[in-house]
Amino acid sequence: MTDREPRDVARIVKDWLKADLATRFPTLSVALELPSNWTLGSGPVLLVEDDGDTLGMWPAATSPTIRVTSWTSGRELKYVHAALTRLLTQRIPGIAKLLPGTGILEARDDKTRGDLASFTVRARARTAVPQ
Amino acid sequence: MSDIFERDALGHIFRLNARGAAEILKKLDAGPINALAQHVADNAGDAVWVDEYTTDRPAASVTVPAARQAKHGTLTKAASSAGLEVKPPKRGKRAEE
Repeated sequence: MTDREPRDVARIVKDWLKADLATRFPTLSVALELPSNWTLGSGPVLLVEDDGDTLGMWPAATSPTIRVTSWTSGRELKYVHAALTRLLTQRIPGIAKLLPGTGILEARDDKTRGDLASFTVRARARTAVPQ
Repeated sequence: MSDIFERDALGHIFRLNARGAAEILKKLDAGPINALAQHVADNAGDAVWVDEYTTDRPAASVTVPAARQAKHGTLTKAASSAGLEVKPPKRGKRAEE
């Protein structure tokens, strides 16, 4: 029995990126979900999502794969380039380590015709007693 | 390839056939690796491709459409469900897809 619980790593990453990229990209929204009214022509969105955990480090830590995807109207990689570099070179409070996952993958959403650019990082975060 | 000789407790000398041992190991290991790749593919749903191949050892890759990975994390979620992480290949090795 432990009183320690997983941290919401995706939310920690989202909050950190939102603050870190705000000055450089003032029109960029950083979110955990795509706004339901996003269409071609809408402003750029950077989504941070949790793709699951093998629980290989449980209960000391969790090791979720975090996926970061930009949604843009037309091909634009600068947001994921900046996010990838910042995440793999800076220390984020609450996360012990971020390791490379997949490189940047480009695609197009069939529904909105928005351009997607996505990468993943592998997080290591110690479990913590809830505040 | 140089021969490797071993002597057992009774003094018998054995010569390791490295090439033959490699062939046997490739066949022995391929089954579980291919099964694991298929397990990931099953977790990923439709329109998924499994490629079974051999380099200096058995290997397999799982491929999903790029848009499904970018939008839904189809491959990374399927790998996590199978107890695997998708990560960069070690230098000189074929990529884990």
